Amino acid sequence: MDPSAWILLLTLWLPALAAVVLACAPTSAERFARVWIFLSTLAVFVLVLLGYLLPGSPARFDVSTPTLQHVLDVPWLPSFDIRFAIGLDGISFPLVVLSALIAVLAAAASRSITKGIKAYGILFLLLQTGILGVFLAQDFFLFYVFWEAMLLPMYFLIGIWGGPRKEYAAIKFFLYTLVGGVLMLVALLVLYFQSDVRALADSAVTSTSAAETLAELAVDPESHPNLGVVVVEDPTGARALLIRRAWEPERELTVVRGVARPGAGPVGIFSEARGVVEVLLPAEPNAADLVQAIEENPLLAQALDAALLLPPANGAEVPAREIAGSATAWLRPAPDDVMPVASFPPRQTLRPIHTFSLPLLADLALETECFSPTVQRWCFLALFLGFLIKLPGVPFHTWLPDAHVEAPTPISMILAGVLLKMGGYGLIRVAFPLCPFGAHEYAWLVAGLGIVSMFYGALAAMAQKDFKRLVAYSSVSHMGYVLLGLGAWSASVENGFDASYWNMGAQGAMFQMLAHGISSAGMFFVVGVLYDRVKHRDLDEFGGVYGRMPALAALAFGIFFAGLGLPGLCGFWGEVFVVFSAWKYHAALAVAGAFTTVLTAAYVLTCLQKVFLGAEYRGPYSEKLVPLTLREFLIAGTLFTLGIAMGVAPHPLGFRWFDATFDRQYARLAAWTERLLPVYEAREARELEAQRAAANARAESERAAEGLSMGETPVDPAGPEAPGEEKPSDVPPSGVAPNLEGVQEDLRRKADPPAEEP
Amino acid sequence: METFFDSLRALVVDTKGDAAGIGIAWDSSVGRLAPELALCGGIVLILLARCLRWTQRVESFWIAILSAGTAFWLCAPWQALKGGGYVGGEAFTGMLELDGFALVIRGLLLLYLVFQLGFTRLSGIPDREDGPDVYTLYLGASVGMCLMASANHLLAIFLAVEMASVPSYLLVGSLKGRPRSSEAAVKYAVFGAVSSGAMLYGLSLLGGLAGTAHLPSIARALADQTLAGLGFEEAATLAIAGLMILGGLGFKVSLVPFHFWCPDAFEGAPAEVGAFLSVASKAAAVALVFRMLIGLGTVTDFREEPSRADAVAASTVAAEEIRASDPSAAGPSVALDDPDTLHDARLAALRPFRVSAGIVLAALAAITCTFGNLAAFAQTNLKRLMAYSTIAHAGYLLMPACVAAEMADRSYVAAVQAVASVTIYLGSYVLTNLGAFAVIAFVRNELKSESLDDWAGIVRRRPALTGMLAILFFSLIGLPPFVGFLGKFAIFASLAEGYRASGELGDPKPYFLWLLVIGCLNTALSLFYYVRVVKRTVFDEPSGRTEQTPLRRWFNPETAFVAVPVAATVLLFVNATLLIEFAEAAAQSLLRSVAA
Repeated sequence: MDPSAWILLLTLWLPALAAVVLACAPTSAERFARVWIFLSTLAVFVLVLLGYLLPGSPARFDVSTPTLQHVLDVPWLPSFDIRFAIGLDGISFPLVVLSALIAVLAAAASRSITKGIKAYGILFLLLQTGILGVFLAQDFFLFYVFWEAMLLPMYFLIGIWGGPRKEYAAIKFFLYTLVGGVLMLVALLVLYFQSDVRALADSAVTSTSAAETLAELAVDPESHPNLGVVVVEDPTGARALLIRRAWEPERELTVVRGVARPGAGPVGIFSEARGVVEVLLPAEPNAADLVQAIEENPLLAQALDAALLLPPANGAEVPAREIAGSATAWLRPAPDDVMPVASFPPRQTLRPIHTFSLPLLADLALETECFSPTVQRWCFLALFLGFLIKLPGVPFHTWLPDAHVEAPTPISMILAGVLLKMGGYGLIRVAFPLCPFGAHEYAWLVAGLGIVSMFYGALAAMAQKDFKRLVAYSSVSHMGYVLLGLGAWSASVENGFDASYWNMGAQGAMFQMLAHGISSAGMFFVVGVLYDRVKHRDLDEFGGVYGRMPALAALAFGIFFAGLGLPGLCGFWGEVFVVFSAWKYHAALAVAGAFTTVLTAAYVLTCLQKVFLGAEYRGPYSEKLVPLTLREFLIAGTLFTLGIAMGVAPHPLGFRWFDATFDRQYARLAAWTERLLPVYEAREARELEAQRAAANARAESERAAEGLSMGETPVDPAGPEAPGEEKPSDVPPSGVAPNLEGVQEDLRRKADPPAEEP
Repeated sequence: METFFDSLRALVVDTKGDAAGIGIAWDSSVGRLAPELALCGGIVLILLARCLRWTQRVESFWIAILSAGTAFWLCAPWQALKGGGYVGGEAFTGMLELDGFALVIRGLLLLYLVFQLGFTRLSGIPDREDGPDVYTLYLGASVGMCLMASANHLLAIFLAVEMASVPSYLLVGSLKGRPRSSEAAVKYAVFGAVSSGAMLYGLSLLGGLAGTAHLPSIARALADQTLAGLGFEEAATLAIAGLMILGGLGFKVSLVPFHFWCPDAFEGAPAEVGAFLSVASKAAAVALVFRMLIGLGTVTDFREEPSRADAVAASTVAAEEIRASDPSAAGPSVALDDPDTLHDARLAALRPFRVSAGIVLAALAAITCTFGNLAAFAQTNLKRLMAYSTIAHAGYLLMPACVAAEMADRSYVAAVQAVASVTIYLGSYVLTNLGAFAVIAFVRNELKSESLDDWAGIVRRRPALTGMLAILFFSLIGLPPFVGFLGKFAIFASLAEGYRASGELGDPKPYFLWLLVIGCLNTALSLFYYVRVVKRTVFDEPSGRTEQTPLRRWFNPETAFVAVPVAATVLLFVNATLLIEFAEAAAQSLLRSVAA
């Protein structure tokens, strides 16, 4: 196995291994347990830093690669084609680093845990494996497994080590997330069974982006014996896609490859950079094959058109037969240039090939019409709801204040710093790319709930008397920005569609997640430090902490201002990017988003004033209010420093890492919007029309039946439908479905040609 | 006279494989029934040992476990995985069908029996005096359950069900001198008697209508009668027969309108017996439901058999009518004397029966599942809670039945997946529930209570057992990374696949999707009561009883015993292929008649 795969595996399983070791230790060794938790999380963090950032490391993360890196992909359950696939890209890598860092800080903050430290440590480390697994998984099933598996340790961590209402908070957290998970399971199953990789095989012949994404899957012939999509690599490093056309599963395939010559050109994929063409045809291709290929796929006709340098003849279409003839003429008589590279036996079955692979599912959603509009709608809603609960967004946020308030400080840090990000990550990784049509349809819902969360969270935070509850509601408010940034896409062509704003909003959302991970963890830590000393969190009882704990006050001001989004601090960039992009979607959203900052300022400043300013502390346990210990100072100091650093240098510490990946993802979504969205809309309109026609026909036949019973002339039940077929300008008959394919092709032909675009 | 001897010889050959001598061939009926015979041998030995007063020297447990182990080894379920599939076939002139499905289910039941015996012995409920009785009853019930998994004839079905039930009644009452136990046993027995009576009536109606009691022959007869036109009286009789059989089977599976015995029996019986009822009895009953659904709902290809001219003639007459009523059933003017066409026509003719049975089962499954989960919420007695949990799981188990029924003639893949998913679920459920009941029994032995309130904070005294109970409960909820999730996933996946396949054929069945959603919501619903137990045992302050219990840590036989199913819940999830392969082999074998 590749050394990079080992690093990836170690990152994922190191915490779990450490948990196993800890489980074997005697219960009495409390000191060992504490040190072990800290060292294990530190080891993971160091491994992440060294393994992915050190120059020369085999798993070094390359920021310029937009696609997945260091993919480890081994079969797990072949009967469902479930694979243990983990990998990194710009979306997951920053979150992996964030969760490794927060885990170290939370482990260091676990000093306040006094009872059952061994069990705590085991659960804490298992939780970390669960979180890392969610961010690393590239298989939907695996993603789901980690997503759910992570619930169990969290449930116990809140339920055993939590505050007075811990049981209520724990079960609420568990139940909410499980409901979200169950909805995700429904969507996962439906998407899985609707997926058919063979559809991709057909589209990949012409679409270079699909070829690129297939290459990133590292598909190998052994693991996908009947996939129909195989990547062959020759010694020069050039890759060929071998695709078995869906309509000819029984024929053997060979790749024929030639070097492009001036004046004579290829079929299929043409790479200018390599000067190599890849011809994808059944064995012993003949003109009929080509004609069929061309007729099935207008894009191929265009590729041929360009490659063979046939004159476009003022937009007149060249008959497919003619092109095919010239192409075979080129293929046949040059045996020296043309050589078979590989051949594969015929595929066994005609069954659809389902997949759980997230990149493949995204390819299917973005390159083909595999998922119908209805499926995408419902699946998007289910996925969105699942992730919304985790994020959390209003109205499913109510678990969060309870869970945060009751959880012990380190767990609050992890909850706010990392767990909430899983919701945003799920939206970016799963919901948007897998259901682009649903995402487009419900963009208003996403953005609207974002605004509502921002407002509601801020207003609720203002009303809190409990310091920790205030911080919890501020999380709701801040995560609203993530929703707004993701939802704010003006993704319809008529609406002056501009994908760059959309990209900006999504990048802002991503940055906001990272920044919030730093600032909210810091805020919860500050609350925890005070609570450890004075055993209460009542804002009205505080005041004057500045005089007793100046270092804490300074750090807290920095961290809270970073959360507030003051320019020069980490919270600023995410908010500003999101608000900018929201302007393009709807000006009112941007105005409301910007106004939230005022509300945020109001509660943050009030809170800081109530806690830290004032003459002197008069609340209980005044004598315990001692200055920060070195450990506490280091934890808060790290978060404080990062908050400033990310604000001052947002690019090297933030955008740089996910720029390329987001650019690509949003370029693909934009391409989808331009290419397939009209197709989907037309398809939906047609389905509606067909339904209406069917209803009409039914009504008419009922009327006819009534007429029959009233003694009028008998009407053949097929009667009302027959005239419809004769008059195409009329309402189309219900039997339009079988012709769908043809109409789609027409539509695509209309929507596609790049030459016609201005 | 000659004919008599001929048929006698044929019978002997069928029974023991060889007309001459006393040798018994392994592939004869008796040879293939070796596992059940081993159990019977065990029973006889235990009884003999008792008569001859060996019990003082040899504990009957060892005889029982030896015979159960031998039976499992003789059953050898791993044969199902051998290349080319396990070729079974009918035994005892069609009374039993010992195919791959029967093989896998029997293997599961016998493996469970081994664990059950060990568990009973460890928890020490039967003393040395009662031991022989209890072990005999376990073995006897298991023989019945193995027969349930392979019954292929109405008589065999009834005999098997009774053979499994009667020892169960006694087992429920095995806590002698306890009024609750006796009450439970009486309730269970009365309920059982009524439902077997109803089932017997239903079976005889069915047999009378079809003129035979052999399942494939009934299916064929029904198909031919339908092709020739089924009158209202026949249809009504069939419906009544179906409902009565459903009542009998529903009692065994504890489907909702027939479930009333379940909580009382579980509460009164010792937890060990509860485990047996909720696992083995249910697994066998579910297997029987699927056996009857597929056996009566599809027709085997009788091509090798000399063609029955009269049936063909009747079918040909009926063909005109079919063409008029159901355009999908008959192609354009192809005569039904072609065996392929006849087979398809028969399959299509059985479709209404199959589909209506599937829909009834789907509705009952949804109700059972929801009811079980809701009712379990209010329980304070752990065994009662587990009884309702068992009811809820029966609901999940029967959900794919409608997919199997609906898709049997349309999409072989979807049908196989449906049956396989039930087998996977059974495999996961057997393990998990055994472990859960074992923990309940072991902790009960310490606390002398099965009330949830008395269990509060037990984690402080029994950390290992409580932790493992939590894992088992999470597996029962269906959370990864435990095998319970695999079972749920397989069942939900089969529903989704059924929906997709039916949609692809132009006849989408939205109720599959509804069932899927109901199942998923039920998963969330079941969280409440399972987690309440976890909360009470782990989070809460210790109760008075808990305080008095001495602390016992990891290494004791009870913990080691429970560790086996717990480890299996995790390992079978990680290496899920094993379970899936067995299940697929079983399903393919059950559905081989529609494999074309």
